[in-house]
Amino acid sequence: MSAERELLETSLTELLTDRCTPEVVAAADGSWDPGLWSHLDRAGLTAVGVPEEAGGSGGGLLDAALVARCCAAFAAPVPIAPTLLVAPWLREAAGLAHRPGPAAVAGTAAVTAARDAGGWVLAGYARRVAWGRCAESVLVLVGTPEGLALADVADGAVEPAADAAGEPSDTVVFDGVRVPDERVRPVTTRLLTALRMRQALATTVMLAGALDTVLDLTRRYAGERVQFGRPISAFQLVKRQVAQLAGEVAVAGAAADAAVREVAAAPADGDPLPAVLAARVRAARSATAATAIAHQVHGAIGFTREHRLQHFTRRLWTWRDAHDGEGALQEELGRLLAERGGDRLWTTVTRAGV
Amino acid sequence: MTLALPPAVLPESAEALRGDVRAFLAEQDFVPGVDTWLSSFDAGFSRRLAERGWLGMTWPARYGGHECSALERFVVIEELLAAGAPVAAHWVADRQSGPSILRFGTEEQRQRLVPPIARGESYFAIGMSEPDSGSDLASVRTKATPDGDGWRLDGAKVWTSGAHHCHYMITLCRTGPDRHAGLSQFIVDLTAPGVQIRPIELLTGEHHFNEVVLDGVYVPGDMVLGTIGDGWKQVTSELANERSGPERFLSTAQLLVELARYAETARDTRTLATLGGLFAQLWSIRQLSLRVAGALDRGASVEVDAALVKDLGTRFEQEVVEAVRVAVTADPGSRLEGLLTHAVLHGPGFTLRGGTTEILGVIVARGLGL
Repeated sequence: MSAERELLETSLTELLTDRCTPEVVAAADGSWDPGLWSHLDRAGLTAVGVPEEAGGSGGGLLDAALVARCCAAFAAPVPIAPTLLVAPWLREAAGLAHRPGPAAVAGTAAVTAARDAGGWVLAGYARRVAWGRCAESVLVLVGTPEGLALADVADGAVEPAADAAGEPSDTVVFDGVRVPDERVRPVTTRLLTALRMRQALATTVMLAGALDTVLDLTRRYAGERVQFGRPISAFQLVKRQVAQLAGEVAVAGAAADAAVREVAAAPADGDPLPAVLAARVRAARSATAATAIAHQVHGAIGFTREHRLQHFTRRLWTWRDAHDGEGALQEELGRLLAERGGDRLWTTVTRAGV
Repeated sequence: MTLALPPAVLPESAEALRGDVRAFLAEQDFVPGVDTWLSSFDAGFSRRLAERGWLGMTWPARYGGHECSALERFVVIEELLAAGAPVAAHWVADRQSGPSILRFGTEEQRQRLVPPIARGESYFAIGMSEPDSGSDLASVRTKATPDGDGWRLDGAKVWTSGAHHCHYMITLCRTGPDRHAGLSQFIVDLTAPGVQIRPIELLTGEHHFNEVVLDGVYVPGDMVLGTIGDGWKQVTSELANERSGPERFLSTAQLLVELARYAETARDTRTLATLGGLFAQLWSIRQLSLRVAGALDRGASVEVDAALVKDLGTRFEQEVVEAVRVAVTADPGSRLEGLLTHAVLHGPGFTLRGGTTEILGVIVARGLGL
């Protein structure tokens, strides 16, 4: 890791240790923490990866992914992943101007746009918009008479809801919302594929972050919890479980890092990316295995609302199914490989983006 | 420490080498198989690899090596394994015996024993396990007794893959009563009087394993490896090399390639999802293994990380077999059927050899501070 990135990780971890305590996370369950967002914002951490000339903090995708992973490791109740990893990239890819502030992305929506004097007027709504209520702008896919377009919308009525992780997953109603011309751009199906890849990458990074903490909590608990007169970590069966958990976490983390590097080196141009799909599938698998082991080792206390573990396992259970089902992702990856053929399987492993 | 390894990026030199290996493989005449690093012995192939400079890659030139990085070696061996090439002859010597002699051996041993390994002419067996010492390796009882200028060895080693083809066996022996400090390593010439090599057939009837009985075998003093009493420390370092490489997740790679060929025509959901899921596993575990190779390159201690990758990798090798079995209906006599059958029958060994899953769990747990 570069020295700058190490510094970024250290300062971010310090900030989150102070400002994103277990109490903050518990209090924000079902909603978010605008105070934490302000702290991150003042430290310049809500625009990492956005070029300075566009009003951002500079840095690249690797830096943005690091911030998102650390925030996930603290279960930070703020819209950092869409704001850093998806929205800036999507705006640039679609030819929209950068816009500061927390962002949400509604990639599948029942929204239409009609021409209006000097712009567009929207009708319809988007459901399950992650962090919809916190967003200063929502990037929403709209149907226009000329085809699909992406609208960068700063308005809309929010009907709050939360997902199983306790994070905002709102309905945003766009009826009558006006959007100026320069905030609407036509999109191709290739861009939609690229968006799916980008969202898969963001999800993978988040899974990796939450997994890090699940290992940390479980390792600590196994060493502290005493039964039969000794820590439960003294039992071979428990050791084996925690060792397996470490493997699941390590492989998901390595896959997430490698996928981020792959995308940073060869930006998505609309083709499905084996590296991203592979990392996403593997991280979801790790989430399943890790949550099961962590809860088994923690016993009944880990299954309660008061214990911290649930903030991470609920996120893992939710994120592993974000946007696409695991089976569908496996099949998509398999189809890609089948099209390339057996003779190219290994070359795809070694150079997954090509 | 576990999980702390930074990402490894393959240098361009390594990627250039990859092309050379693929071009070489395309010209070779062999039947691609599974588990070839155990079962496909081909001395001619090993010598041809040596001619290309692909044995002893990381070793100093003065011992016949080629002074490449561990990541360059990683690329070469992963290409050979993925292609299912017959690499068994030199495998142990190149992977662990040569490095052990270079690290712990005398100058005379290095000059005499290492260059023939790099030429693909000298093969080594691992003399660790015994009939009563498997996972509990430190309990070995094969005894080395001082005899004049040398040592006299009595005991038996088992599961010594390829000993019937090998020239030497690096043998872990008891030289004192202390569980760990009473262990030492000796380089045993397998043609010496008193050495008896008996086959232990695999359940398929294949002959790879052996029992090597040592009945008063004389080992000259200059064939002690390292220091008397340091055997346990030396073996632990050797095992990190033994466990960390890509052969711990690529033993069934050819079966996966064959599944992808099958999927070219059978585009049903089950086959595609199976292929995608297994690819995700392979791609991800390889990323972790690359980190270990990168750490080896920097000379870091990788015992715990190697155990972690081996555990994940070998369970994945078995998962490939099981998942392919469930997904496909192989045509009688097809390549897929042959590879699958071979892999099913070799599968149990994947999570046993080089440290069982259970032992690896203990090592990883210790590394986690449990």
